[in-house]
Amino acid sequence: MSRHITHRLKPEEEELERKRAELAAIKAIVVDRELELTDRRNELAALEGSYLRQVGVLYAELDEWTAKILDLKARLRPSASAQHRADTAHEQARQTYESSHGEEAKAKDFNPSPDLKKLFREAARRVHPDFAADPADLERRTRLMADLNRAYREEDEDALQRILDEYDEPGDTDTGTGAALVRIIRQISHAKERIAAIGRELETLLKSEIAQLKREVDEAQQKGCDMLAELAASVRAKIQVAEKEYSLLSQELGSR
Amino acid sequence: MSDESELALTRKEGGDSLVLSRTRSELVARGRKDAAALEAQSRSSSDDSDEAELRRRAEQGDAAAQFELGSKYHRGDGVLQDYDEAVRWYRMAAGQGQVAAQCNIRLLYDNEDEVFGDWSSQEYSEYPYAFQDSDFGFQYDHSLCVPLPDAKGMQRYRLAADQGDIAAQHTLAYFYVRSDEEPDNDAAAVKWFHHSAEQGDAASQCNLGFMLAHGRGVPQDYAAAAIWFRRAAEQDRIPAVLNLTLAYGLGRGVLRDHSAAENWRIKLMDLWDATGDRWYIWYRIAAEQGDALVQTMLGSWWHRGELWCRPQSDEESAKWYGLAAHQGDADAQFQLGEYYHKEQPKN
Repeated sequence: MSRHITHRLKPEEEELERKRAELAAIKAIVVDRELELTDRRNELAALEGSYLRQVGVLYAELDEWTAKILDLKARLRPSASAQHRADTAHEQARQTYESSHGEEAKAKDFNPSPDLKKLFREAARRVHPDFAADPADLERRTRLMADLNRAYREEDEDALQRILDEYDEPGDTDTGTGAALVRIIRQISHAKERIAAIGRELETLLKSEIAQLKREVDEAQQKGCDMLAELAASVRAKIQVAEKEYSLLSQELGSR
Repeated sequence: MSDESELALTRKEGGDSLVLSRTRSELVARGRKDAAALEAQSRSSSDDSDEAELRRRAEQGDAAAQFELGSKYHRGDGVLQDYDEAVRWYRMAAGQGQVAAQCNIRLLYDNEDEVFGDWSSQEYSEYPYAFQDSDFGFQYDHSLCVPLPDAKGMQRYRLAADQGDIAAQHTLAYFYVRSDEEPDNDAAAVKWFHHSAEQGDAASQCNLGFMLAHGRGVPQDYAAAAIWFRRAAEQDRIPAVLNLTLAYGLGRGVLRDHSAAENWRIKLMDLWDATGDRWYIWYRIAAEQGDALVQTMLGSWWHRGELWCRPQSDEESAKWYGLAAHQGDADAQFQLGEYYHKEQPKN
């Protein structure tokens, strides 16, 4: 035992210690960034859901009316271009309908508790694919990370806990200091790549229309306005006008 | 869907909760645009109770108010220009026997493709004059997109113009520019643009500047053109702001002043954000006609992702910078260098 106490680290062992410390630090950063990314994604997905439910469906209705109006116009004043316009409007209406009635419209609100965030960090630290020991482990971690994101999105604390409980990190299978060093250096490099990728992804996200909408909705909220509700009201008014126009055109067609 | 894959974010872990798709992005962009218009509307109606009053009367079925509101949308006067909206209000007024509204609907419908079609460059093939003899890209203000009326229609506009109706004066001038029938139509256009410009109509001010800059119907005078561009630009008229930017950038009619050009360019961006994409086509046409300054502007807009409804694109940016660089624009050359430097593989 006393032999161990007086044992001095070899240079490669010292390096290994340093790399382990670096890995631990970078792990914390990766986990932080993953959390930030997933939070942004989930927030935006939630906003997108409520936008599609509150406003998108109304646009679909409005486009439907517009297409029907153009149909009548094409019948009142038949021409190739009038028909083309009506067809285009139908296509637009179809697209709007699909966009506003898809899976994305079902996205729920997202308000993770601090506890849930903590749980995510813990689980992500444990299962993040960048810190896999071998290909089999990587596969398992990749699957778990996906489960983790899903559970977090659904604010399912039990599922998160299960992931944490389920996963045992494989023991150190390295046969020596050299192998351990190589593994850690690779993990650090993966982690750095991932951090950069998250940065790019966040940048893309923040430039997206939905992110810009989020900023505007938040700004309006600070002024005490519910932007989505106001928008919905204005589209509803447009629908009413369209309905009126449709009935006028129908009458015109009927009186011929 | 191929659309989906173009914008989709790839993520190795899977389990994505948000995938950006073009069609949904467009739907969101549409809401943002409408919300901006709503805000502009509420701002202008709270500033100006006349506007709110007009809207209230129109909504209650006052035919004259409906016509006036329709023509506001028609001309983009105090609201975002919107032909569909214009037709809706005209239609309501016309339904009550308002002749002017009926007449305007006919004008709009007679050339429906022009009014309701896509804002493609073909659409502008009807207005070649604005670009054909444009030696350095000053823009004509196409605020009005209605077909030429027949002789009787012209007569009606002339009567209204004579009585001091600013909108009629501008419209009449616009018809003169487009009509080939009278030999001195450019001079007549200048006369009527001048009338309505003097009374503060921004579109007319911009177009008067255009006529002056090109020496059409009036001796060429860059300095006078710049004065009119400025007056319209101060009223936030987008083509005028562009023209003033160009004037400062090129030193036409004003002392060349890059910081002033840059200030107006920033102003242009703000206005652009507020009014949307419709203007893009003008700049693209000017750029395609070889205007290096506009090419550089387009390059930087694409580069910074500042174009309405369009995602940032380095490739588009490089394309416009490339065209400008080819013409010796130093700024574009520098930017293009940066682009290629970035494109080079790191190893």
